[in-house]
Amino acid sequence: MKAFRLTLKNQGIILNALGGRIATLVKIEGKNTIFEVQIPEELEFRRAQKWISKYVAGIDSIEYPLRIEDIISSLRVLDLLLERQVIPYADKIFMLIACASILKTVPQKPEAEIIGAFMPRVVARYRTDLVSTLLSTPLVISTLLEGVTPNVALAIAEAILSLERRNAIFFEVVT
Amino acid sequence: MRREKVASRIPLVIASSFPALRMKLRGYEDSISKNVLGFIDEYSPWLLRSALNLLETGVLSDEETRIQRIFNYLVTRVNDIVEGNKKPIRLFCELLMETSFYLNLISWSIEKTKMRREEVIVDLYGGPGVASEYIALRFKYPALVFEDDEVFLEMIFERRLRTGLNIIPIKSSIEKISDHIDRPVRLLVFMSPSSWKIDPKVIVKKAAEILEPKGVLAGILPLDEHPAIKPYLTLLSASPMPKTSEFASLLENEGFRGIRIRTIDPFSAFYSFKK
Repeated sequence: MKAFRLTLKNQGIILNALGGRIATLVKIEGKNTIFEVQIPEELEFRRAQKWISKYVAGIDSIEYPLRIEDIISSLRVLDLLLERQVIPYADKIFMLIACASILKTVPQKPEAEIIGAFMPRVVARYRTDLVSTLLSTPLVISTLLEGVTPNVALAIAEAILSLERRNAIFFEVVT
Repeated sequence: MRREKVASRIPLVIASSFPALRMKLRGYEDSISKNVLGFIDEYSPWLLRSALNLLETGVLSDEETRIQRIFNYLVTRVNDIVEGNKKPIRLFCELLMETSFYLNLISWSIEKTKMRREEVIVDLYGGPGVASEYIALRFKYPALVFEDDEVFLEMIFERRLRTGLNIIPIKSSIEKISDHIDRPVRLLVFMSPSSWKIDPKVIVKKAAEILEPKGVLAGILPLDEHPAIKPYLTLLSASPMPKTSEFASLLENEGFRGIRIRTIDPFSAFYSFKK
């Protein structure tokens, strides 16, 4: 992203990094979110548009107050992904990273046990120590994302979603 | 001594009509206590095989333990499933399909298939995409995986990201799949337990419509509803499964020939060719 302006109406947050001459601007509006992004000319416009729509869909679905740091982490991951093929469940990835400080993963028996015993091949793709920790201990997601690169944050979010999909963990809102 | 200890723990039911297995038990008869050893007709060769193995080795093989644990898991979640929670069924499908027992059935059912240029593979109700991954890897041809469950589609996409294979998840019901296919279909499979919710007659009719001549229809079904898994089938399938003979005539009536069915309890794998 060259520049952007993100308006979260229900959160009362405006992150403004738009400036100078605007060449290619993508503007996507959700129920509570307006996202304007200036993308580099070399990026495929339609693909970028799809990614930004996914981002807005993910952020729009959040009803809890967010931390600016988490929103910026989610923007860094979006920036990383803009050139890649669109992932159908990308909205969930952005939502998870943006909610990192307010969501806790909680392991669920017996799924956590059976997955730990016969790790399905897809789950086995993720870091073993990360999967084992998620399957055994309740964790606030932000503790896993502290100081990591967008690439690592993406891998962690995918691992969490993969386990949630298989019912091995569920999310709890930190009060 | 060890044999006796092990045998006394086994709730073993042996069928009098199963001479080959009884032969295998020769030599162990003394060590099997009389109150455990019953000769009745309702038996499960599947459980019996496990029991035989237990007798010989003292432990269940990894594979048998695994399959039993996977079915036991389904039992622990019966209430949730009845209440409409699909998550346990999804995990069950994935774990079961990743056992070597199931993968061997998949492998057998596609062994006679020869793909040609410009053709595609169709996986109907592919579930978690285990069979699609296996088949796409084997043939190096694109596999269109049809599912109507959003989370299964995510699981299939995850598999695509992991393997880099050309597995294309498509959200569609069985009635509308033709709208998404623009190339000849040489192989149509329905291997996942998630396909059991659809009446096999409907799938076979659709396959006859979509497959090109000499195309292969292959699948795995719990034909004959083996007693060992009958209670689970009510959780997984919408209609009663046909008997093997009924299913074979159904395939014939829809214009399939060269029908081969291989049953390794509790499942049957099959393949057949469109005329």
